[in-house]
Amino acid sequence: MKFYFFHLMPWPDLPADFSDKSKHPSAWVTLSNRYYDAEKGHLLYNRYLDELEYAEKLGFDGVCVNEHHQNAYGTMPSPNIMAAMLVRRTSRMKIAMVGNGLPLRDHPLRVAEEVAMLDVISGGRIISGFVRGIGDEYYSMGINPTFSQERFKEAHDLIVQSWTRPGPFAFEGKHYRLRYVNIWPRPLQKPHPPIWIPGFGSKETVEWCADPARKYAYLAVFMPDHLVKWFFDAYREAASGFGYEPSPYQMGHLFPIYVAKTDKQALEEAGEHALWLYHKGLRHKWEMLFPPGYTSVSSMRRITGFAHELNWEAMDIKELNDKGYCLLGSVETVRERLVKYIRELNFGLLLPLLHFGDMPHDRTIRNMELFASDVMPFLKREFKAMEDKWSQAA
Amino acid sequence: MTPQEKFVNVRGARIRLLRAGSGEPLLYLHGLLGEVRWLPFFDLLSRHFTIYVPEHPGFGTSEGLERVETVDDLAFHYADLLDELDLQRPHVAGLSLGGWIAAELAVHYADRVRKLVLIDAMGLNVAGNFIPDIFAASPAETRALLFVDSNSALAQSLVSDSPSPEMLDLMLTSRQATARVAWNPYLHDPKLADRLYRVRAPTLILWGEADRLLTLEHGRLYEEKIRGAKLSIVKGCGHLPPLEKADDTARYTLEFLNS
Repeated sequence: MKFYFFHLMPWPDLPADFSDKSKHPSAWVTLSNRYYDAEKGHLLYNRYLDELEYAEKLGFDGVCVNEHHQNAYGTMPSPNIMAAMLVRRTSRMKIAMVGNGLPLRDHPLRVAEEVAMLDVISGGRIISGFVRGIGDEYYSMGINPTFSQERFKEAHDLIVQSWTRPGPFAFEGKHYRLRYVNIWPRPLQKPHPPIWIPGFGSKETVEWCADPARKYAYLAVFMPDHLVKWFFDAYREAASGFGYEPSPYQMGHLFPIYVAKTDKQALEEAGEHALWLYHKGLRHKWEMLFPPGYTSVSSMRRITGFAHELNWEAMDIKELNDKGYCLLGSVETVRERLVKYIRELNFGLLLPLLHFGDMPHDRTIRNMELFASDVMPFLKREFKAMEDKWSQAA
Repeated sequence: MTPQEKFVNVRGARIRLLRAGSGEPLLYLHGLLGEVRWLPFFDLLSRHFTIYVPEHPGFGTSEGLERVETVDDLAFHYADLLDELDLQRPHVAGLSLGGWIAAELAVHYADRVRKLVLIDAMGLNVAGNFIPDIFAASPAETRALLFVDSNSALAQSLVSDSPSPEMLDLMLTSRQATARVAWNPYLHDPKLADRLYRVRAPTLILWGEADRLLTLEHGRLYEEKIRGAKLSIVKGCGHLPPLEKADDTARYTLEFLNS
């Protein structure tokens, strides 16, 4: 098992009347940035970066940062800037950008160059996630969502080629056309930094990741147990269709985890913060979460069928915890549930969100420490066979 | 009158089409909801004209969206369709998105359009006039933007809160195919206004008095930019006059086409 501490860097200070949905239909796109206070932001960014740096001391395999625009849910418009600061303040752990929103950028080579710089400076500690960006961001950035899939694939191809093919060469795409591709520097890891793809509901993405030409890790994000299983099963099925058995390190599970002495204490301490995430930070307008053409009509039909699973605000903390949207509990409970998940779903990347919502610093640190001392080593021992069998592939 | 449903092959894409009536040909280009089913408005027009109602690429069951990137691709598509149907110079009427396509067709192929009717047409940007975001609108908000009476049975049936599977498919494909050409620049082509001088067909601009999506200012700009164009206002009507005020819209249209 590999453990990557995921941070979203949310903006916790929402307006007092945020619970009024008619006034505040979303924490994205339209929530006014007058609620952002840069003086507090200065302290908050530095606190969050301290938490990420501390993960190395606690023995995590790595940390994850990501990209989101114009929202209170996560205040990292550029994951590469976050990674750049972490690279020089850490020396051992991996730094995963999960990921750069390729279709939202007008120049994929900028991503290729920045990731290559980070990889060289860090001595090959970079994991390069690629995302399409969530639906709301097509409103925020003015990018046509009906071209999202093809822009993503084309930008991906250009970046991977720029990392692996000696330049200069010409790239002739539909969205990107370049006469001279010849990036300096080239990445340190060969053939290139590992690529991770967080997913949110599209089966096509799973199949694309599982292709033997790629074998990218697919990350299930904030999904209830049965959907995680559905996507990992789809991954195994796709890999088997391609004629190979996927490594558990090709599958990752990202969700909030909080560990305390007892179940009761965990719920008391972290319940409100998990509700901040699911009831506030993830409050979207449906039409913005799913802009036209962002997902195929057939996927949209399926998503419309499980829309209730995305209606987090209709669930209380017990339901969220029971269904696996989060895992708040005692050391024993957390160990037991994770062992069960990992056995059943056979995945090798766990990306615990150990800070979420408006959780204060001291609680975050306690949670990180308890997870690192009482859960992480236990799971590493418990799943040593996985490590032995697959670590080369990872 | 019962329309004939046919499928036409346009450069390899299967395009659905309704046809009815007799007389001079009239091509009707539908709006953002994809209203390609037999409507009272079509019935009224088909008493005087042979009306053709094709479904745009990517809407409903019409194919060919992959070749559509900007609105001029749709203008070329309709030039191809006219060739396919062997229509040399039909009247062309268009609503909303279809009005925009009709205007582009009349710019690129001025000699293929006999008379032009633009009804609450997208396509122009009126400086300082902020168009509400139809793509971000919920079904209830969409009804409020498009109809004067958003609680009417008509509004509920066209933009449903709990659509049937077929209706859901039409709503999803319509939204996608509209966004394809209209996401950014939003609902307009920045070059169109300056090209409208090329339109040679006699032109009627029809506008819903209470269109909340595209205000009357858009209609006035079309009237100003197209030589000899005449603007008529459909009273008590929103963005979709052929649907919400079929009788008045048909009367204005027929008076103009028969004059």
